[in-house]
Amino acid sequence: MNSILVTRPRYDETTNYLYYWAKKVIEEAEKRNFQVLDLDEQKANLKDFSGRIKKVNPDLIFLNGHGSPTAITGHNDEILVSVDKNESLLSDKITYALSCSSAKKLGQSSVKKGAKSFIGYKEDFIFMHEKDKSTKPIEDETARLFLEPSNLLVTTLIKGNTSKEAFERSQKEFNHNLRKLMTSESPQEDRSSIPWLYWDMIHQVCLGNATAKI
Amino acid sequence: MPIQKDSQDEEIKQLVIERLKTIPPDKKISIGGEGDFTVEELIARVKKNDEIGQKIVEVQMKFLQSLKTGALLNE
Repeated sequence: MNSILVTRPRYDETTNYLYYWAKKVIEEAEKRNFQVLDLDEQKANLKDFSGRIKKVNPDLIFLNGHGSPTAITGHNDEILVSVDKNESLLSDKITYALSCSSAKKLGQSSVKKGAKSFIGYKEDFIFMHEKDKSTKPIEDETARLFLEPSNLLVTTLIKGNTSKEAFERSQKEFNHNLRKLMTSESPQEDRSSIPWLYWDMIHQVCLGNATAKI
Repeated sequence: MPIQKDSQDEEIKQLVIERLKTIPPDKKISIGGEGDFTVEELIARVKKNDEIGQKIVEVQMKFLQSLKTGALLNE
């Protein structure tokens, strides 16, 4: 049985959005009979993260949380994985990190230390959302423009495609959303999403073995 | 020369502020661990020229440059 480990901290507005949108990926994984290790809220801590990886050895890791060039955090900013400390936890695995800047150094370093592939962002992942949708992030059509291309990356991997194919599918969806917003039929207020969406698209990268798949 | 550069920076900041004003007031921008910002807060950061303000300018200018070079349409 294939397995996926997902971290879903939820302690501020940004992680609240990622928490709910990552749930859609979990549902897709369950439909495909994946074993899902869901480290949600307080469970997104270093002890559970490293313990579950060592015990189950998941094929795919989907990290949601804040990040920096050298680290990715879980609940309340606890560092889960960082350069020169424990990036070997990602060895022999495919990782997608929906977190700021972690592809810059951590991604490179994890690949050097044996990760099959690391897909993430070299700069801040920025998204626009609606003020009144914080209790219903899934119904936020503005956030959807950003988080659907992100989710598509993981669901493409779950379906057995390669890292490169998943990356390209996500890029295509970012591009599709950009073009849709740039048409004259698109309302002006929606067009203000374009620069941020473009930023995310150009800073998303696929490192390591492009042919790696589950 | 420095005076000219300062004036260019001010023009860029003003351009970015005008662009930010087109964001509807019912939206917020999440910039990772830095937090979530309203339009007014984004504009204040650009005026202040702090790290977030500079990031916002970078995002907007990257997009405008992509239009100029055609990079966006070629993606």
